[in-house]
Amino acid sequence: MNVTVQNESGRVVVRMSERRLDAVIAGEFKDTVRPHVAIKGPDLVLDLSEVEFLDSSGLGAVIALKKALPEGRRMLLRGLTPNVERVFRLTRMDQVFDIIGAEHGTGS
Amino acid sequence: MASRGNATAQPIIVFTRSFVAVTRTVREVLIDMNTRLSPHATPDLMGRAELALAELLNNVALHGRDLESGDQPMVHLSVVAQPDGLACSVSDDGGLLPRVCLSSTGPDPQTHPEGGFGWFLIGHLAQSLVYFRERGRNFVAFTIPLQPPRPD
Repeated sequence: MNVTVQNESGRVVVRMSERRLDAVIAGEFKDTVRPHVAIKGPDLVLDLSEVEFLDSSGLGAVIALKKALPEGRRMLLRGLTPNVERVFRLTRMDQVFDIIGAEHGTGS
Repeated sequence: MASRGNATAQPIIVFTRSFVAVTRTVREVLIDMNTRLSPHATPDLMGRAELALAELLNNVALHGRDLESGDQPMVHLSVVAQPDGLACSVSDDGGLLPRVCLSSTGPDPQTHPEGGFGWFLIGHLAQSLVYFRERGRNFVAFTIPLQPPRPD
């Protein structure tokens, strides 16, 4: 699975470079990323700009990662494509995640 | 989208598949469906249909196993492109669909639920949803409307 982790302006950026975050790979994605999330460190950005399709299994994996954060560490979501944004909106999970714009946006 | 100037002369655009319900096959079928139907639907409509069908089919793949035989269910899928949306029908020979699925209200986001969204999403996306079980098969049919049913 194609996931990269790198430092970017003082934040850890986890980039999911698969086009589909679905029931096939949700578990593997969660297990791959969790070690990077569950430790203390700077705020983390989960970049989903290459993900064109997300289902509820993929959503569950992203929620599980948020729950794995240690106290005081934040996880921001970046670059949600229309199909991905729809899932967060319909499930109202957009209310509990910090969602920032594309890579070139200023973010917060 | 194709012109509908002469609707009666339009061929019926349909995608059908029969397959064993495992998540990897569900993914392949949805990709094939996109390839087949994208020329006849808006990206927004395709996105909503793909999501609803992913939830339904993965539900069958993950929870529909026959408890006696242990076999994965066999699914028949049919999607027809119509002027008002995509008409989807799915049947499978898996276990009985719990009735609670069809009235799902969705989990509370504040509790950070990791599951339980599937039927909630289907209910949001689908119109005219019907379910029945006959001769050991589940039948689910619904339409994904060209226009979303409510501002979402």
